[in-house]
Formats: sequence, structure tokens, C-alpha cells
Amino acid sequence: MSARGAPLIEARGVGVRRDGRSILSDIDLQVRAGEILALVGPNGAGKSTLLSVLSGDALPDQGQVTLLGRPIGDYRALELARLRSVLTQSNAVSFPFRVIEIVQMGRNPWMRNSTPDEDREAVIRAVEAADVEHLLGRRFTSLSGGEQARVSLARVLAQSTDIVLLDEPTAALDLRHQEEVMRVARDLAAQGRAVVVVVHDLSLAGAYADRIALLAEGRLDALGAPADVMTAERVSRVYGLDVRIHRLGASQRPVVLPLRD
Amino acid sequence: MRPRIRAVGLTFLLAGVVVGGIVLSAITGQLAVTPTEVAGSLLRAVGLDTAWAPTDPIVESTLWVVRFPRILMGLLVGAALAVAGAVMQAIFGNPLAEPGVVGVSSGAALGAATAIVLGASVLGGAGIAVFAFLGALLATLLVYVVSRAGGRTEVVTLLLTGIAINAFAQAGIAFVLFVADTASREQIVFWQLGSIAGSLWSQVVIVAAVGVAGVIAAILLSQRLDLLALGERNARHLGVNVERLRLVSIVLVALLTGVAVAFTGIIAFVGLVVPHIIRMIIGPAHRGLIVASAVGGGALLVLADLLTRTLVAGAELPIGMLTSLIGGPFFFYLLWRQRRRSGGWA
Repeated sequence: MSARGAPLIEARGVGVRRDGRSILSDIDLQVRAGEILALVGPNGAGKSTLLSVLSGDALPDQGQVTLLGRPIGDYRALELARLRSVLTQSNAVSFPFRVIEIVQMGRNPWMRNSTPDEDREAVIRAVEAADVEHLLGRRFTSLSGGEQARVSLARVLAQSTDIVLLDEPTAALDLRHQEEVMRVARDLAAQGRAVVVVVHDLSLAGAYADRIALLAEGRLDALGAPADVMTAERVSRVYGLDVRIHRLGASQRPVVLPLRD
Repeated sequence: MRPRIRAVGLTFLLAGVVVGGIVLSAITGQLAVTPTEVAGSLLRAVGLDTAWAPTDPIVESTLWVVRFPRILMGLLVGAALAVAGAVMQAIFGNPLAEPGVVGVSSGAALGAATAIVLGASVLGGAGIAVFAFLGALLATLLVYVVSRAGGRTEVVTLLLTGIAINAFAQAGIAFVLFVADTASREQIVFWQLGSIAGSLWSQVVIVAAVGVAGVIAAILLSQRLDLLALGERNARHLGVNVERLRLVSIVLVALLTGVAVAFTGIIAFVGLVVPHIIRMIIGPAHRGLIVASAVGGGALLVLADLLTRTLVAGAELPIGMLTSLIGGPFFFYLLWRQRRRSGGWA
């Protein structure tokens, strides 16, 4: 595993255009080992596009993304799968596989490089972390949306990569599981992995992220510690909604509340 | 572990059905042959002379010239079609994809009919197979390009594409029939009904070579096909080279369908019914599914062929007609169920 703080992914001057429209422009950021980087911003700000560029799904039209210093487009699919895992927003499964089979699929990149014991251990740890033990014998297609999301998270965790990219992992989850997923992300970071997470809940991002990247209209509006990024002025301007920011505890973690009558 | 035991158990059960079907098929017909004579004849073929061996040369030649190639052809074609169906369903992410339904078989038929008219006698059996493969490949590519969106295929789009391709291929076959001379025309019409009667050893050898290689290739791909069920993007994140897997799978489907159609005509619904029932019993994991489908498809066609010879005394029904009579209603049932479950044609 890389040294804490070492940049694992680096985006320089990244721009993406779709149908002649600029989706992302001039994005410069690093994802470092041992940190949670939260990507936040209004709908259509380019969060998911940025995540797909960082994951190597899409190549940027301008600038470049490097992973461990090497351009991400130079990696083969299997090499990439051993370095980074991705939880996407759509996790439909075409056939009624059992939950345990889905989680085991996360071990595919290591097929010829790990012992059955290592595989079993990784699966067990992932299943515990995502709290899906009681679902293992069920068919994936019979689960609720939130359960499917957690099983998919377990699959991503079983992949055991140094870089973990999560696209709205909390979207379909109840309050307790939202917190648990963010705790899982924090544990991953504590193990020295780099975690990038797209979230809509600014307070959740403020509570768990080491750094927050605030995107607005395809540009990086701010990048830094939650306390610095989350100012009432900035959040109100970017989201077009008046908010008040409370600061909790010694760390001054921001909690964002819309101003309501 | 339990599902794997189930898969192995089912495969052995189906293998038992195959053996039973083979014996029944070998002894049934205008000339009655006893099971011991079948065993004796087979043993003699591998160099073991026993008291069971048939003494009548007519029995011997009936078995080796008429019945054995026909039984083997049924086994191989059934296995090829069932595995083609399973692979196709995996890459389309849709359990209703089937070579017959979406027009791949028609494409192969158009190719084969063209080969017959152009003078198959010059090209030989392999020539028909190559043309059938090319027709199947074109049809598969066309369905694939037209009907997929975001790694999945909606039922409606898939079926509409199938209708279009089937219509075009049928029109093409009609045109080929129109320009054909009388002899070729008869050959095409008869072959189009779907029949494994009159199979020759030279044909069996071609189908065996392609079929066995294709089934092995499908088994080697099975783990990657599992991952494809997560959607293309997720499969890629797990290290699958999706573009290459798609291409290899399409060629595989075309090869298996093409070689089956080339010599036996269109035998529809085998690729739909067999994998579906097996998935219900052992689950969707592709390694077990493909192995069991190969054996189950073989069993189905050997038994179906037996039925075509015995249902109407003194006459032989076309086997393609029989599988469609059974498979058609089954397809309706699947459509109805899918529609009820998803509340629409998604």
C-alpha cells in the first residue's frame, strides 16, 4: 500500500465535452492515500462525469488523468481492476444471482493471484462491513433498492483495491446505513486507501470527508478541508439557496441547514 | 457449495436421459433392433467381439448408416443451439434472447440456402456451413448493434429487431427459392423445415468439430459472462475486457447457430427453453448453466427426434416444427410472466 498522503490519482487540466457542451473544465485535483475526498455540488455540476474520468471509464477531452504516475488510458482493464474499485449508481443485475455470488464477483481481478483463503477472508470482511450477512442466500433481484446498494458496496469492498470510488453510495439508504457506509469509507481511509465519494448530503460530507471538492457548472469552485469549503456564502451561491452553517465540536465540522420559514 | 452439487447432479441426470434417449432411438424404427444388439455393435466397433453383436448385416448397416449419425447429429445440434442461447442471453443481458427468435437462425438459413443455390455440391458440406456461419454472424451483429442500449436490451426492441431480421431473411430465402432450379428448390424446402433425418457422417464430423470447440470456448468464457450480468460498466471495473468478450461471444453464437442450421435447418426455441429451465433449477451461474445446457439440449433433441419418428405411424414429422409447437407456447408464457413482473415491456 502506498505511503499515506501520496497522490494516487492526479487530474491535471481535465475537461470533458459532450455534444458540443462543456461538462467539465480545468479540473486540477489529487486523490491521496489515506484520505476521503468528497465530491459535492448541485445536480448537473459534473460530479459523476468527474468520477468516471477518475475511474478510467471515460477519457478526458483536455488534460490528463494519471494513476500512480501513469496515464490512466495506458492501463489494461485487469490492471486497473486491481488498483481501483468503483461503486456505480446503477447496480441492476440481469439474472437472479445469489447475493453471495455477487459479492464473490468482486474477487475476479485477483483470480490467479490470491489463495482461496484470501478470497474467502476478503468476502467475509466485505460482507460484515456492508452489513449484508443476513442477505447472502437471497436472490439479488429480490432485494429492495437499499439492500441492492449495500450488496453492491460489499462487492466493491471485496475487490480490495487501494483506490475506492463511490458514486452516491448513500442515495438509497436509511439514516443508520448512511452513517455506516461513511464509517466504512473512513475505515478504508484509515487503512491507507484513497476514497472518493460523491454525496448530496453536505452535512454527511462535512462530517466524514478529509477534503471536499465543490463542483459548480463543471468547474472546481473550492477544494479543501470541510471547514474551509463549507461557508454559508459559498454554499448559498453555488446551490442558489440560502443556508446557515453550524459548526460542531472541536474540529468545527460543518452542518448545513437550509433557511426555512 | 450446494448450488454446485445441484449443477453436477442435474448434469448427470440429463446425461442419463441422453443415454436412455440414445438407446431408445437406436432400437426404434421400421427395423426392430434389440438393446443388446446395439451394445454389441458398439463394442465390436471398438474391437470387442461379444455374443451380443448383431449377425444380420442389415441391422448393422441400419445402425451405422442411418441411426447412429442421426442420433449424434441430434445430440450435437441440441447442445450447440442450447449453448448458443445461453451465451446470447448473457451478452444481451436478457433471458429472452434466442437465436431463432431474434433472427440469427434465419440469417444462417439464408446463408445456407444461398450456398445450396450457388452449387453446394462443388463446395461440399463445409461450404454450406461457412455460408450459414456468415449469415448468422451478420444477423447477430445487426441485432446486437440495433437493439442494445447501455449494456442491456429491452424486450420490445429485441423482439422488433428479430421481426425485422426474420422478415428480411425469409424474403431473401424466398428470392433464393425463386431463382433456384428445381433440384435446389426441393433441397431448400425440405431442409428449411428442420430435420436431422438422413444425416451423413461427413456432416456429423463438421458439426462435432465446431460444436465441441464452441462449447469448450463457452465454458472458458463463463466466469466473464457472469460478470456481464452486473452491466458492462461494472464488468469493466472488475477487469473484464468487455469489447473483446462481446466480439468473441458474438462469433461463438454465430458459429454454433450456423453449424447447427447448416445441416438441419431452423430448429427454434431450443436455445430459449433449455437454458431457462436449467437456470430455474441450478441458478444463473454460467459454468454450470452452459455444461448442463449442452447436455440438456442434446437430450431434448434426441427425444424430440424420437417423437418425430413415432408420433405418426409410418410418417416423419419435421423436428423444427415439433420444437416450435412446444417452444412457442413456452415463449408466450415467458413473455407473459416478464410482463406481469415488470409491469410493462421493459
